[in-house]
Amino acid sequence: MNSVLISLTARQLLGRRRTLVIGLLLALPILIAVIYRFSEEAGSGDATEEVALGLVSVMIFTLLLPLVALVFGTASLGAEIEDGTAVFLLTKPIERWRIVAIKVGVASVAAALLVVPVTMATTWIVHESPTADGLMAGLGLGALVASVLYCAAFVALSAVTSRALIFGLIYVFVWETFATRIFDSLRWVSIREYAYGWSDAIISINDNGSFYDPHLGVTTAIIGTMVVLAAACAGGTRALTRFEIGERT
Amino acid sequence: MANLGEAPQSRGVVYDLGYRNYDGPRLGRRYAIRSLYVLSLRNTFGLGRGTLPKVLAFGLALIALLPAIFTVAFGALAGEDFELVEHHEYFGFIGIVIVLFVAAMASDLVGNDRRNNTLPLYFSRPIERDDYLLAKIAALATALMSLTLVPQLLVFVGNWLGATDGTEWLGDNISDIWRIGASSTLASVQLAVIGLAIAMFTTRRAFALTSVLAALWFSVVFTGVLVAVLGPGWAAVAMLATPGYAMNATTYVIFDAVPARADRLGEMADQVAYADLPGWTWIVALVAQTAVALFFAIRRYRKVTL
Repeated sequence: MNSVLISLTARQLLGRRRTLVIGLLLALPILIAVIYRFSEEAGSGDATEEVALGLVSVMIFTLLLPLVALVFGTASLGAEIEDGTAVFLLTKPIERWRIVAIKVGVASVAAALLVVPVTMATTWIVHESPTADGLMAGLGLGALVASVLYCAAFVALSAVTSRALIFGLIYVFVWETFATRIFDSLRWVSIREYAYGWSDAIISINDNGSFYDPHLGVTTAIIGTMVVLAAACAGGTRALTRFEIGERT
Repeated sequence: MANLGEAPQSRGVVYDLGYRNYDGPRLGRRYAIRSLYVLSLRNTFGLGRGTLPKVLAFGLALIALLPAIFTVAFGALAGEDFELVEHHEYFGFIGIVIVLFVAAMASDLVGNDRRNNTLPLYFSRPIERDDYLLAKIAALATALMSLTLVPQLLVFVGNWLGATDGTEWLGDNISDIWRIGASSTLASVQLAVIGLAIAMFTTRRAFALTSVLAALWFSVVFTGVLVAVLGPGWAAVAMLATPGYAMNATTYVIFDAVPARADRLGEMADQVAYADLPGWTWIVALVAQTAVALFFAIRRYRKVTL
């Protein structure tokens, strides 16, 4: 039953026009990286690690990564609820936590498969070296962690509300991007900052925070990650156990 | 049964059940448009709908209002010189909130009618296809005013009340009123038209939401990064084609706040200054974008299948 559910979810997520559009969007950072590499800027001016960090954080970590995770996370469970096929799923003798875990797992893998290579490729093209400063591996790890956490959070959200997409967008763009910029302490509650914290375990840039400045240490990031995962799985399972079949408004 | 056989004979009916036809005054097309406008406007704020749409709309409007509230509150406490956000920066500051509002509302306004198959009901009324579109655009633009015009007016009134000499302050700043009005109206209409034009190409809410967000927000981020690696000519082209840039630049122009020619990196205002274009170009760009979006929207709705 598990394997059926896994392959079904994977087909729902990937076998559509959506994947093509997401692929095109994800080509943008690579395109910019290539433009940068061949422009006059590359030889002079800013250090390449600064450009790589800036590009990856602006285009991927604050924009495309949350979006991809949001689309996959809300589609894997939310689309079933919206289309009414969730009924067939929920009336099967499968534990609800298992359903949540599979939906989270498949969405995370799909998102990570798309986002992590793009992150690493963009870093590599701009920074010219795959190993220097641990930048490529570090940002790749951060992208992986962020994919899993965002997907978990948004699967749980879509079990709770039928408008998960817009509330997820508000969380990502108003809370993580807007509010944390004004109030520094809110960074303690931000999936993006946890991802940066994980990256920091590998990245070995030390410039006293002039452009590289992860706000959370590795330990905090790991604790935050655990809390988000546990809360998402528990919350999602709880919402699914109390799920009422019928008209949703 | 009283009227059986007395009904007008001109209607060729198989059964005459004796129902009386309505022959009173008809309210007509304009009334229908106005009704659709009011209904759509109520729908954007979730009035007459469930709790969730209300929370969403009023929540976003409140977030858009917060910087204004802070500005007024701290201005009152810290003296009149304090300004968290100035008028010309306001749309840039809360840009993402406005875009999210447009995305959420546009996908609802045109999407719900197609998902619920209510379009045939509208088009069986004395309402033309263009009228339907116009009513929806007007409704979204009006709703947007609560995120663009209202916070700006709040800042204005707050600064006025906080000024030591109210009359003198008003005399100095009265011209801001038309600037606020013009910039909010232009921004609201532009975003409403573009948002609706994109949202009406798909029936799925998720797709509509994401596409509007991509067109209005990702484009800004993408152009911002692109400007940093392109020369001034191409950078200017990229900025003119981006709705978010046209909107903010128009606001700077209206408030006469484009900085002196600056380094291209940094704030959006500096990038606009880097393009070094005459002010009217940005307004033309904004109007042109709106017109193109309107053209595609009208064409779309003339062909839409019911």
